[in-house]
Amino acid sequence: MKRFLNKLFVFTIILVFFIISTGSFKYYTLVIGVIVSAITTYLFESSIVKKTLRLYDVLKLLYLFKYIVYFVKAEIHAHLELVEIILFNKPIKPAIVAVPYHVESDYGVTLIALTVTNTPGTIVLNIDTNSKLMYIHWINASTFNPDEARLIITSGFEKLVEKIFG
Amino acid sequence: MSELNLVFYGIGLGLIAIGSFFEVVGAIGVLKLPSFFLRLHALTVSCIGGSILPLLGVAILAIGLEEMGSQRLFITAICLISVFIILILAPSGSHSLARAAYNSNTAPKQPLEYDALSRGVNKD
Repeated sequence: MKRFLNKLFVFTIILVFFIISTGSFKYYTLVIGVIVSAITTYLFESSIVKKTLRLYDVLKLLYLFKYIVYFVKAEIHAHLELVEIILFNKPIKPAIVAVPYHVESDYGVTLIALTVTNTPGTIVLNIDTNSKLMYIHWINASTFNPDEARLIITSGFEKLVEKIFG
Repeated sequence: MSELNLVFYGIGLGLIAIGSFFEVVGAIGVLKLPSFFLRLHALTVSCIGGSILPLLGVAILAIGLEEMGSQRLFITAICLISVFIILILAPSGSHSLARAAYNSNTAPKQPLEYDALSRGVNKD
């Protein structure tokens, strides 16, 4: 069977979602769940995961864990800064800065953009795929230079995302 | 109630309390900050700190309630999946709001100290 690991990966995720959202573990629901997720996997697997997975890719879950830890740290830092701005009237300096990115895959760019928008204080306004630039609205900009802004905002995430999605 | 369950209960209640604090901060920020784009930042605070932290709190609190039987694990899993979905959907929403407001010039951009997007970029 071609791309067996891909199919197994997508199938397991859909089945787990099904079991959790129905909230029961009986024989009847399990059979329906297996049938539904097999059909969904057969139809949509090739459009969800583009490249062929190998067994070695399980190691990337470690980097995903590291990514979550880094994300939580960045969240705490940004939340404290926003609380200072809102409650204690810390002076702000809003700006839209251009930040270059070097990730190739679509999933990687999406993950970086979602993370940057999820962090309070930075919102991705626009992405230019030709020149590989993100335009970020920054509530308290310490620099307007693209490379320095990249060091502060995205470079830490980008290193880990490159290892996860390539 | 055993001691381990008491610990879960305490951590869950603590996370919910911190979450409600961030919710109030986000609400004050939406009312207080001067322009649309700045208010979006306050909205992110009440999304991450105000809805994801309490969801995680409920997930941990449900593990500690032993008298609920095996259904508590489903509550935990549903909370974790909601966290995952909110983490994907909320930034997509605020990104498209911000981009639409910028490109259509509906919201005033001031105060803004520097604008890298206004110099000759194709906006699609």
